[in-house]
Amino acid sequence: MYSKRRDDLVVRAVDDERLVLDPRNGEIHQLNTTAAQIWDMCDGHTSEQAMARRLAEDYGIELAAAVCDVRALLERFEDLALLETGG
Amino acid sequence: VRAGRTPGVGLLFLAVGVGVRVVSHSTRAARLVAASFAALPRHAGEPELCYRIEAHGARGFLIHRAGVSLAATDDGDLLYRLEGDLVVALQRRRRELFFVHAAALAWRGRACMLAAPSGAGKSTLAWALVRHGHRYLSDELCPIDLASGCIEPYPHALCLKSLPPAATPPLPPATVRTTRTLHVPIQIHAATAPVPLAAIFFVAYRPQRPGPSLRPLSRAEAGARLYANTLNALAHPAMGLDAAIDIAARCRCYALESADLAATVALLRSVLERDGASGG
Repeated sequence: MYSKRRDDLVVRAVDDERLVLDPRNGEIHQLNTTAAQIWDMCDGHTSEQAMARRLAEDYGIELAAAVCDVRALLERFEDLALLETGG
Repeated sequence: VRAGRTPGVGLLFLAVGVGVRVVSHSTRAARLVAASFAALPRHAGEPELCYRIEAHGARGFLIHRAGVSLAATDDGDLLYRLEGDLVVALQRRRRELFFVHAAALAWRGRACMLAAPSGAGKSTLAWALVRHGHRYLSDELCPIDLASGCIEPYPHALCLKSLPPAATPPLPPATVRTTRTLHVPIQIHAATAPVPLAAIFFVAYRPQRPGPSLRPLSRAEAGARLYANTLNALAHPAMGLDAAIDIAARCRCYALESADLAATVALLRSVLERDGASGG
């Protein structure tokens, strides 16, 4: 599965975090360093497996754990309707 | 003056640089309006905003402006609706300013902002800080000049929903009590010129805690929290997000869990002294 950020969001990098403003409802979301890293990879071309591998390498964690973390984050992004649907 | 109507009592003042005239055809309304806006500078020119207030029924009032009338059920509702309309009108006329729902006080030439939802104790904490020597900018509305980073004063009477704790210095005799609020005149303690913003405290009232606590915020968290308290975000590019981030990046920002009022004031003062000494 390839996740892609919605194009209409207002996104700003603040240090190594991200602020994501949803113009549909005015809600603002703060993504910490890890979430920001996954968010940046939601480009519609990077697979979940690739995201997990990157996370495992960067943080020195088991791939299985990274897969779980990535899935949980993507589900959270989906719950917040921050990703394009049907991706 | 029409027959049967109480002669009008006018008050002309400047609110965030906008001339405002309020004419009250009710002695009670005139007293409330005078008490609420006594600390705002007088205005000599033509007002941009003109209000007329008249008694309506046994306890109510009608507020008229620009062909629109608002009904207020009683004196507390009168000040609530009048201020509500005024604050929206000011945002429309000063669109270049970044309006934040927050209290603000100045100390040693620098301002700190107390941002919190209604009912979180901003005004009570602001009152306590005024009694400890801070200059009063506002307890509700912080208009920030994005170019200078200064807060423009809006020193209407400080509005308390209930009496402050017993340990706090007593309220002045000129305090006005309405059905829902207490309005404390802060005239002699009010700031009269814009003050550079140096610190933002995002306040949460935690009375069950043994003492107050403070946590420094990252620029991102501060920007997000500030954005959530912004009143006119849509008047600015990128829906105001860039402005919020910029403001937060210029100051020290903290999450403040307030508890006992005296201890909270002491903590806040110690942080402001420390940051002031370090040039933060």
